[in-house]
Amino acid sequence: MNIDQLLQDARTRVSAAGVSAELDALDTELLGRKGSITALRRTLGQAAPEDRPRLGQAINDAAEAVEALIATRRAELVSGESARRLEAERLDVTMPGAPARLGRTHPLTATLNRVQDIFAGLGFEFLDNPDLEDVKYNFGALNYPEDHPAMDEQMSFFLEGFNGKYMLRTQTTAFQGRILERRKPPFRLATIGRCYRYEAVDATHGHTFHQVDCFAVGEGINMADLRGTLQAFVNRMFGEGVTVRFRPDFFPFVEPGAEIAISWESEGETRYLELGGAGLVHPNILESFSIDSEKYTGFAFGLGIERMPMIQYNIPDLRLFWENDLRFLEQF
Amino acid sequence: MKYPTHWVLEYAPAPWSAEELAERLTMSGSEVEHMRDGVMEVKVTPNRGDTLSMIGLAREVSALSGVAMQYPDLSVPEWGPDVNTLARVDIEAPDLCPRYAARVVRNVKIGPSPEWLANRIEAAGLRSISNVVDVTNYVMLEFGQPLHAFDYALLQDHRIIVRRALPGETITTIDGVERALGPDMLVIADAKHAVAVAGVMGGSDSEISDTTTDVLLESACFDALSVRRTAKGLGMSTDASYRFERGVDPNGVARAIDRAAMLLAELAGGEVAKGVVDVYPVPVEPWTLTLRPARCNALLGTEFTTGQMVDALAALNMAPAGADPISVTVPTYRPDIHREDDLAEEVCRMVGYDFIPATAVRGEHLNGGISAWERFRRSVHETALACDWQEAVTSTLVDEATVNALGFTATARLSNPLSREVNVVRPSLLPGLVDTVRRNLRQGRGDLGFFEVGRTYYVKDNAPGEDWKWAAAVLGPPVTASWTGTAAPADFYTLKGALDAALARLGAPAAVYEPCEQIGFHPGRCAAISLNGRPFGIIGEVHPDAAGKWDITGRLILFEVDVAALHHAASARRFEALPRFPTVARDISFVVNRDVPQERIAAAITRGAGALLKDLTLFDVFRGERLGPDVQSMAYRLTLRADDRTLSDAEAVETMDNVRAALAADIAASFR
Repeated sequence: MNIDQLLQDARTRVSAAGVSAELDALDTELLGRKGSITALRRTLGQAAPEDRPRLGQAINDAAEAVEALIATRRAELVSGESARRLEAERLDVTMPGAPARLGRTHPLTATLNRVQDIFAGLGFEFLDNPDLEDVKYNFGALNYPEDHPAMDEQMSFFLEGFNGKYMLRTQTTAFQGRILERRKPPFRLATIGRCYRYEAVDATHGHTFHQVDCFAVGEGINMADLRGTLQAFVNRMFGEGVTVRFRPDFFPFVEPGAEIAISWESEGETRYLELGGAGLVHPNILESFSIDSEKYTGFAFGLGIERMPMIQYNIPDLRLFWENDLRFLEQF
Repeated sequence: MKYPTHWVLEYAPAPWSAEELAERLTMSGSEVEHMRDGVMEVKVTPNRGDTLSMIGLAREVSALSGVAMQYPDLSVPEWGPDVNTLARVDIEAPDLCPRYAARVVRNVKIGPSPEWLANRIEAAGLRSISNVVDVTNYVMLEFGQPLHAFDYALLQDHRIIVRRALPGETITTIDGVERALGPDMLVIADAKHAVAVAGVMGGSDSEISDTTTDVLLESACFDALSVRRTAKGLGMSTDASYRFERGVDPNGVARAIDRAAMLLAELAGGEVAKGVVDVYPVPVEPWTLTLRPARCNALLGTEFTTGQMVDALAALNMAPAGADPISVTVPTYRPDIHREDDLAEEVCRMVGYDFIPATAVRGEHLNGGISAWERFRRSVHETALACDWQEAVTSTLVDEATVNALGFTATARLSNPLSREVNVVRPSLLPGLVDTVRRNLRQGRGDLGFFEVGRTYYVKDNAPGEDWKWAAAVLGPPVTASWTGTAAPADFYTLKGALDAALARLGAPAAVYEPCEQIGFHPGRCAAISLNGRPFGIIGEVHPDAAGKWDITGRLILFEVDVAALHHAASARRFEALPRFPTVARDISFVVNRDVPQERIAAAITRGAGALLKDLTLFDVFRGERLGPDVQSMAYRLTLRADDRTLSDAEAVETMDNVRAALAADIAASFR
């Protein structure tokens, strides 16, 4: 077989090879140790010496050409095979995915964390305080006169067996006395958690709810600082368009006292929502802990937590927070 | 309290619309909750008893609007004998009754009230009864001074004695209830017995009736705390007690009785005897306070002028004098004003709280933030989320029956629970989580995983205490079928694996599990967990009987661990250099008695392998007929590595020989 024939034949057969294995066989047949090209090389010795370089070159060229043919065809075959495999693996991407269960944070916890993070950013240090509280901290240390009608708004649960000494705190403000017993101003402290009132449960009342309380005492702290702090909080929590409204209100532990509401525009109307109570720390409280009320002043405020997600997500009923119904929880 | 607007505006005719009136009152501290048919419902704060009347609220309107007060006519047409010849008043308990005034009105004709009067008191929320009773109520609504009318003829010896109740004394009040009086309760008595509970309610013995002709009018001032305790003790709250609890001005007593006498003469044809019996041993005088304008602005953060302050205080009838400081005289109807700070509030609410600017908190730098302990709690929460569990927030107050059914004991109990369903303070988060599972099962949900990080409560050594717990509840089998195949149902080991992985993530050492039994849990599938040798919590499957009672189908697995113990055991994170030398994996399988706890087997392997053992995984357990009934085959994969060299094959072989020896020696394992 001469070189041209061999090349011709190789071209035909390589391009006809349909699978890699066929190509491997061809590779061996043409280029292997016992292959056609090797056989041709062996005939080189029989050629005239002056022809040998030319013939040798021609055989080398042919070998390279065959190698190239096979490589090209191999690439073609591999990509074809891969394409077929990929095609065979085609999925219906519209089929439903495997069910996945995700961990989710309860909307109340999400709100508590957010509130805490904002006040922490405003320089308040958060403390843990007990739910099962001594009555003296819940009321006495907060300038409540003995058995005062102001307590009527704070119907309380009492612990059995203590003769009225321990109660479930009705307000996180109960932490003030605990602080004043062991810390001296200046300080900027906060606490957040559950409070309890003896109230029948309905859409807007619960026997258990959450509050955040902030308590700052230092030199020169005033009502404007209180408002500024609340305004900063409200803007971070609810957005720039929301403003704090103060209105005179009464709590035994502050003077002057204020009710905090927020107002915002919605569908051309001004809407209001009460968030809690605030004021300057009553000087009687500071003095009862031997703090000079002429030198030091402070502010305190307590905000209800539940109203925040209620307004944010348009939740109409407080009870949904406590029912832990997945149909509710999975919305957040 | 309900205030018909026209009645209020009669005393302070401000040129305001009803909406404006409501807005101005609300923004100055008397919150108008709603307005219906010209009647305002005002939420009066407990410090402002002085505004619990038309005139009281009108004083606020006058101060806010600048219009002058127009007080009602108080000219009493007196007739006949001096009242002192008709009645006598003795105060035997002056500590509880600073003032008692009485008038006698004779020959009244009991009948219905005129329509205007009946309409007014009914608009204010009271019932019209008869002209005499209505007049006392009208004057109470007008001046805020509660009054009482006795049938003069029925008062023994026409005497009034203000005293504490006698031992065993009872009274039948005008609501027809016989009430036992306590020794600290103040009563109004005649010469014979109690005829009224002071400041709360009159007695039926001396009640005004159709046959009454002569009336003794009472206008008195009683101690707020005493009235409050008496009313509470008797389980009553009346319009009178409500006002006395919030403070009644002793100097308003005379005005009110004159007004009532005048109206009785006018509307019931009564003849008012000359004079008033007025026992007022220690008259209360107005008190003076000073306000420093600079201090006022310093407290408020405002820039009010002295003139603004003086105007505000003048409008409130406080007779300001001087400029720095401003001296004021506080009218006796404002017992809530006794410090400079109170005056600052008065100034601010008159000028307007809207004028308070918003500034940053002044003072030195303070470190705010969240404590390490709280950050740790949040990381527990995050870890639980990573376990694919839904967070639940469950009630602190729970049903004791559920608590007991899970083997817990509530030591913190309520003395006044709202109901039997919420009568104890939770000693564990698990009752709440079980309830959450039940609730969602009822909704047809399955494949449930819930957790809560929250407080639990106890009473110990005669004081209450609180712990932070982390609990989870997982229920298999999953009912959400999928064409992709259904995952194996969660079981004890699912939850245990999650807990162990979570502990590792939180930087805690491995927990130790020991079989335990607790009511409500499967006796063979419950473990007490300890961490660093200290009690840490419980994990287990709910007893099928308990689950059945709660309509829970499937296996409900629970755990609860102590977060503080976890925080204590969790070590600070430190980077460890990544290993430079390769690991070698070796498998070993053997047969061992089934009653040998896995923990002991792992301990034997660990002992045998020594320091080269980096990881140990149990990957197969086989039980079968051919092995025998009491034994099982177990297969472990050991991951070996030396920190300072590539482990040689010979070392690995030697290590495995040691492991086999340890297994044979420690747990009688056999190899084949």
